[in-house]
Amino acid sequence: MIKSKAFVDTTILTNRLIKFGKEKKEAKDALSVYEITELPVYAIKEFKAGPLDYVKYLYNKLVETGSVADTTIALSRIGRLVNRQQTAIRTLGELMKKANSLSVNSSLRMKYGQLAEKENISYDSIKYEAKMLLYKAWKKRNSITTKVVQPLSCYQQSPPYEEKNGQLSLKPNKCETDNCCLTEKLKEKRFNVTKLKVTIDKLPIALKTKPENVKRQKILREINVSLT
Amino acid sequence: MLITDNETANYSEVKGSIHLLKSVDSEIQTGSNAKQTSKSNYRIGINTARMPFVFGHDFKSWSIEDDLSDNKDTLKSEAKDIPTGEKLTNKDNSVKTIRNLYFQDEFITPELRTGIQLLETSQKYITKSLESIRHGKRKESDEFIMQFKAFLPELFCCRTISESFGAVVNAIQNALSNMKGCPLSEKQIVALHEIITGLLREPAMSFEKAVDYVSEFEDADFEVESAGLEGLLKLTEMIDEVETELIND
Repeated sequence: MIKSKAFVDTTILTNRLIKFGKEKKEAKDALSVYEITELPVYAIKEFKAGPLDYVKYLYNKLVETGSVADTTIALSRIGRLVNRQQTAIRTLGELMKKANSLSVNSSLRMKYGQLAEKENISYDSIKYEAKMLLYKAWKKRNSITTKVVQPLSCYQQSPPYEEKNGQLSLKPNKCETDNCCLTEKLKEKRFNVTKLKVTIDKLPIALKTKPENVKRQKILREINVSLT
Repeated sequence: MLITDNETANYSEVKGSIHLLKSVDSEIQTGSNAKQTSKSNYRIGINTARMPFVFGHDFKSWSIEDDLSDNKDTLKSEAKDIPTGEKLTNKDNSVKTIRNLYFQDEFITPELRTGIQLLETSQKYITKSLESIRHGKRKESDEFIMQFKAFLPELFCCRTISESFGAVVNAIQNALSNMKGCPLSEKQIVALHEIITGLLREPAMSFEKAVDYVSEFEDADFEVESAGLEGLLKLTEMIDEVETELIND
């Protein structure tokens, strides 16, 4: 174990809590190397508003469509996927529908009816998994590092909850005020803002264009403009 | 449907359930009010193992005669094993008993009864597997786990017991499937035993409690999520990537 301190950012938090396989293992191993690991509350805020929101969105989409295949097709239609990607995902959704209608465990089907239908099994299974993943990630957020640091006076860590229509909500996922208390702190350290901007600019293209970095750049630009 | 039997039962067998009986006492009515009761929709949880309970039944639409006719005799013979003792008396002096409450067919959902039976059998296999691995018999230990795995699809069919029940069984199913046939370690078998015992103790636990159980289970080097969820989440993330491309543009 390295006797030093690591400052954990949102990516590590995300990989540790809601990613799978290699990414999850790497994050877990990386955290175990350090004696002290510190997680700032802004990373939790970012995690809740970003990556955890995908899980919530997926769960709610499943609740809305009532089917894994329809959810897959619906997801393929959102955004601006290129035609080939859209077609591939839609075909996958259709194949799932067909496969589900064909294979049924006959003895369980006899005893449990629709509960044993393959489509219902995969639907409930994925729905439970998504909900479990979301609640589990929220529960574990404070325990994956040795310390949670830099509390934000403008942000409350409210747990996820289920709305009356069965959909999950992560609200509030923003600060209670228009400007996060961190903005003022960053303004006081203008040099750091520029340094952060330059660091992201120098990243390899694959990292630079990652959604979180694009958003970071945009915010840093705005802070810079407000300072001039 | 009336609860009129005047047999009695001994509470020492079912200590943790008295609070349930009391809460049910206020809701279940007998005699002239029975018609009203039969339209009620109950949802009551308990913290005690082995006790079937009133669970989300719409008595109007659910016919016990259809669902349980082949198992009535078994249930009644099980009921006879309960010793007699203290009585519970209703406001209108009609007598309700534990046997009435728990072993009257009307109050046991078929899924709950099957679920409890399957969990009990599962627990036995897991205990045997644990004993085997502790005696260095790894193959035998793995065979017991394979036998236990065969119950999981039916256990998942009992998911109407509660969302938590379904979520926990699903996590176990994924965890074992993700092992890709590799035998479980002693630590993993212990974790499996713990989670099955927890489910048996509280089949209708809160979702938060289910999260606690699954989190502990996962800590025994299990992966409780499936590749299916991973794929769907990646697809969901792609939406955001597309949105980012638009910002860049």
